[in-house]
Order: sequence, then C-alpha cells, then structure tokens
Amino acid sequence: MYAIKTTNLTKYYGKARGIVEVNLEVPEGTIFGFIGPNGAGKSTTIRILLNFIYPTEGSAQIFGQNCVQDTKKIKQSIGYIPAEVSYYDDMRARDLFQYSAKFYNQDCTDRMNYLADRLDLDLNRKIDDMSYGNKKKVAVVQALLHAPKLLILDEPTGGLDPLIQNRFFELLKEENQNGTTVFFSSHVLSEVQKMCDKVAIIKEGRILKVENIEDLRQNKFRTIRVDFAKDEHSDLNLSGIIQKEIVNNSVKVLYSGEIKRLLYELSQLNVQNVTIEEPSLEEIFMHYYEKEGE
Amino acid sequence: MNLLLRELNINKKGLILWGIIIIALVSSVMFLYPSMADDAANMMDMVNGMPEGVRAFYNSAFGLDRLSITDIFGFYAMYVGLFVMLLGSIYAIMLSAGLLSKEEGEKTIEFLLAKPLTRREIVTSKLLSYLFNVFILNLVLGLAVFAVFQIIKREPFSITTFLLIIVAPFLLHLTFASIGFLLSTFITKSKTVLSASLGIVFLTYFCGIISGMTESMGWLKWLSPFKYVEPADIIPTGRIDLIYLILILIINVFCIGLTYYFYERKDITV
Repeated sequence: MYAIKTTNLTKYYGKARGIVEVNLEVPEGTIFGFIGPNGAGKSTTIRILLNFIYPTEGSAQIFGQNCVQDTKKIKQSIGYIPAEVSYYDDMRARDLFQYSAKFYNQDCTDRMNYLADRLDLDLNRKIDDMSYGNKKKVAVVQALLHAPKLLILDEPTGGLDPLIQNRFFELLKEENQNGTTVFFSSHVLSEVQKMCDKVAIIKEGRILKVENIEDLRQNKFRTIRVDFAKDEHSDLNLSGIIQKEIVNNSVKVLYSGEIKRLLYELSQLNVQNVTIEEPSLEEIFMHYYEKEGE
Repeated sequence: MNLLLRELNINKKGLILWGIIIIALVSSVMFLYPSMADDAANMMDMVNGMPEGVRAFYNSAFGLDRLSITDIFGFYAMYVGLFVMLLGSIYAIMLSAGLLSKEEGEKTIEFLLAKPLTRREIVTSKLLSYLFNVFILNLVLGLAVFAVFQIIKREPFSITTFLLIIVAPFLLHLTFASIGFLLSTFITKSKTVLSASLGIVFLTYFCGIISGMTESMGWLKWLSPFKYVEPADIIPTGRIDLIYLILILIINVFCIGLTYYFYERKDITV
C-alpha cells in the first residue's frame, strides 16, 4: 500500500492553474521529497491531501483512504507542518500541545517534553511572543506529538538555524526508522539531498520526474570544466553534453555520456586543465527546469 | 467537544463583559421608573407638542402611541427595550461572525483542519458555542430584569407578558447571530466582518423605523427582524404574531443550513 497515491489530480482556482494531472506514489516508510520552484503547485497538492481544498478532477488517497470522504480518519494518522506558522495568540506552547493532543484522545505529556527538549523549546512561553524560528519549532513538535504514521511537511525548515535544522532532520530520521513516512516539500535542494530516498520534481503544476535520489546521483551526470590553451579557441562537441557554458577559454559542461569517450575526445584537443566533479542536485534540477522551459 | 470547550472558554470574557454592560444599563434606567411614571402626564404633553414628523419618528421608534409609560411594561419597552435589542444583537452578530472567520483570518485554520475533525464538526461546535452564549446572556438578563421589576413595581405584573418581553429579544439575538454565522463563511477579514455585522444590525434597525413612519414604506418591516419582536406590538396583545415566529424560524434554519452547506464545500486557503 502507498502512503500517498494521487491519480490525475487536478486543481484549477477558477481559471488559474493549480496542478494538472499529478500522479504520485509515495511508498510507505520512505522519505519522499517534493521539489519545485515557488508557485509550482507544491502547496496546492498538499492542501488537497489535507482536504483544505477540493480537487477539480482526479483523486488522492492516503493509506488507501480517500482524501475527501475519509479525511477525518486519515488525519488521525498524519502530522502536518504548514509553510507559514500561525497559532492562537492566547496560548503558550504547552497549551497548544495539550489542546492538540486532546483531538487525538492521547496523553502526550512525555513525548511533548522529549520533543521540546530535543529542539530546545521553552514550553511556557506564549507562542505569540516567540521568534519565527521558535514558532516553527512549535509547529514541528505539534506535528510529531501524536506519533503520526505520515508526516506532511510544507517547506518545514524555513527560519530554523543550521543547528536546530540538523536536530530536526535527526528527529525526522528517527521517526522514519520507526516506520513513519515523510512527505517533504521544499525548494532548497541540499535539504532534499541529505534527507530523501525519492524525489518528485514539479514544475508549473505538472510532475516532471520521479527519481530515486541514488539514481539521480548515479545518473553519471558529471560537471566538467576544461581550460584550453590561450591562443586556441576550441570547443567541445560530444553527444551526451546537456548544458554548455563558455567563458573565455574555458568550457563548463554537464555531461551524462560515457567517460571513456569524453577522455578520448579531450585527448585530441589542446587541453591545459580538466576538472571532473559530481554535480550538485541543484545543477541537475536546473537542467530539468530549463529543458521543460524551452 | 474539545473545540466546543475551547470556544466557550475564549468567549467567556466577552459574554461577562457584555452581560454586565447591558444589565447595568437596563437596571439603572429601570430604577427611574417610579419617579418618571409620576410625571407621565407632562411627558405625554411634551410628545404631543412635537412637530408631526418628529412625533412620527418617536412613535415608530418607541411605540409611544401604543404604550403607556405609567405601565411598567410600557416604560420598559420605551426606555430599555431598544438597548436590550440593539446591544444584544450587536453582541450576538459580532460573536457569531467571528467564530469561523477568525480561524481563517488568523490562519489558525490550518492547525484545526489538520486535526481529526470534520468540517461539519467544526461548524457544529461553533454553532453550539454561540447558541450557548446568546442563551446565557438572555437568561441572566431575564433574571436580572425580573429582580429589578420586583423592586420597582407599583402593582403586580403579568408573568406571561414578562416572559414574552424576555423571550422576544432572545429570538432577535439568535436571528442576528445566525445571520452573522452565515456571513462569516464568505467574509474572513476581521475588520470587514466587524463592519459588515454592525452594518446589518443598524441597517435593518432603520428599515424598521422607516417602515413605521410612512405607510408607503410599510413593506420595509419585513426586512427588519426588530419589527418581528417589537415590544409595542407584544405588550398590548400579549403575544408574538405567529407569522413573525415562523419568519424567525425560517431565517435561523436557512442561515444555519447554508453555513453548513458552504463551509463543507469551500476551499480554505490562507
């Protein structure tokens, strides 16, 4: 069974495009990244999953249950961190967590203390008086408190400093090892690289690609920079070159072909210097974005 | 249940505050009754000496032509009834209009909707909370007014009429609360909600007054819930007209029903 499965999920706000025919399958137990630039439809997808908004067409299921009809049942087993955090202005962090726990008929006191301790959060402060980063911590604790089977995170790391961000990722990994599925939307690619098993890339409302992080990296994408001798205006032409940037006498390419052929080709040219490195996911994704844009 | 308890808790302060204000106002005016009733003849002379247009206004707004201020109910209707109806309606509509819209306006709805709770349950909890608050306000007000009546009465008064003048504003407050509840499924900005709520109360109130001033505008009374429960009609006849009771029932059921209908279907993006 999939933790999340969407079938031709489509949402239009009036005439404005939200998402178009999104098909996603998030296997149980994975950490699944959902990557795209602003306005690509990440939040729209998440809001449909949570039944904040209704799909125009298609359907979505969480643990095999329909996101519209069975939303109450589904919500027993999910935790959600919104992109923008706002809570009741009369509550301290502790009050919010107790209020939240009552909806699940659970006593979460021990877990609340544990989580607050891990994230270094003061339970007795009014949420309204907290900094943005601390509010985000409240959101994290609130989402993890009832030990959900699926975590839906909409750009969760904004406002967290690197130290807390790491603890947050550790927490997520722990939860994941205990069987929790994590669905993680972000436009910060390095986050995804660190955390996720699989990623879906969304752009302008459509899913471009779903890949295993490992495959993506082992896709034999290489960034290659070649410096030519000064007086020689040479160029590199080879099938497998995806992207090319020429600055003066050096060429930078994103290459996904055979390394052997590349080396042979290079040996024929008047090459002064060569660096071959693994590209960041960022570069790989930029390539996907641009290709679609053409 | 969790949500209902929370609602009751956060709306407690407003209830107490409005309760105290209305009761203080009502009783302080009512305590003038014994002395003013003695001077009633002078009062009536003054009213009769007014220009006709002004008199029409007074008659429409306070029912001076149909009531006598020497009678305890007449006095209540003329000097106090309006406060109770207007202030209570403002309280009720501002309370109910804020219930659903506040969660959206302050973006806490994302928290609430992620909890295991259907939208219907959210609406029901909020509905019960305003019904409870409006009921308690009127219950306490009724008891307070009863106590004041006991102190200032010059002769025994009819309990039936008394109950009617307490139930009538309760029905009016409920009606405005239900209108506000429906309103808040469309309007979610707190400032807009506030002005729209006040606007509805005052607009319908003035529709009621105008309807009583000139024959040709008489149809306006159907737009004004104030006219459905007018003390000047209730006190002489000792009953609330059935047609008005039916109208009140229809408006309440209609507004509440539509609130469920829209709230369950709307897209909530904050």
